[in-house]
Amino acid sequence: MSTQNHERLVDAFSTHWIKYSMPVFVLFVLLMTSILLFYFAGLSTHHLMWLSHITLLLALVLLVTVHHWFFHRILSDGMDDVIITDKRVIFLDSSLWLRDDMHEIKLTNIQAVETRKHGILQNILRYGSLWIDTGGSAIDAGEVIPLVPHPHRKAKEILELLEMS
Amino acid sequence: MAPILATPGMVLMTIVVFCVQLVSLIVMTLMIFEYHHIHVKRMDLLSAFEGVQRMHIIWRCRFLVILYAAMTLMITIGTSYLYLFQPHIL
Repeated sequence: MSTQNHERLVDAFSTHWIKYSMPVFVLFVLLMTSILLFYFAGLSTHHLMWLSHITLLLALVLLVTVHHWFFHRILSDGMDDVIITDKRVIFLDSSLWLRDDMHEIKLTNIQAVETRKHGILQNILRYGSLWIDTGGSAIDAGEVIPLVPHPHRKAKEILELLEMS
Repeated sequence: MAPILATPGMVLMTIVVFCVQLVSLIVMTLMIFEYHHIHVKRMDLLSAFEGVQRMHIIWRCRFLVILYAAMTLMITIGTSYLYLFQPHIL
């Protein structure tokens, strides 16, 4: 990263918290399943010991797997950041062990900024996607930033920077 | 002999249960290590800019790591205790 040009940070934010809703829901459902399996293991301890052992093992493996999966998602999603400086827009998309992407768009390459908020949830919770047009013919996946909180405000910030530069 | 070690089947079961716990702790350590690695890279990137308020990112990282470690240890200790000392509950 170049520091000699005195690049100034304008905004740094993470993507919208809605990204945590699905992992939390799945965690809740699978945790309940695990607790139920523990309960069944306890019920069958004195009658069907082999069944109790299998159920206990299943419950334990499910509990541990779900726990680690949930934190893998939370830690990975928590790493998604958007950084806007007076020279470029950087979108960091990480997933532990699986992905570590950095999309960088120079302000001088930006032709237009478009925001998209589709559906009830996106409009009520005020999030959407930010499409940064760099003049290509097709929408490049790297130029669409999903789950941006207050996308109109962020687009305005970028447009103001474009006008200033 | 403790009830959990009364038969060969139960000995095997005990070994498997503690292997699962051990694997869980290893996964947690590796995941925290990887998270820390990415976090350090992120901090290096942010430090290249002027006027950066990085404290919220540092605290978010610390909070998540502490929560993850605490919950993993709680699950490990809790299930081990129930298995060893309260087998009638499980």
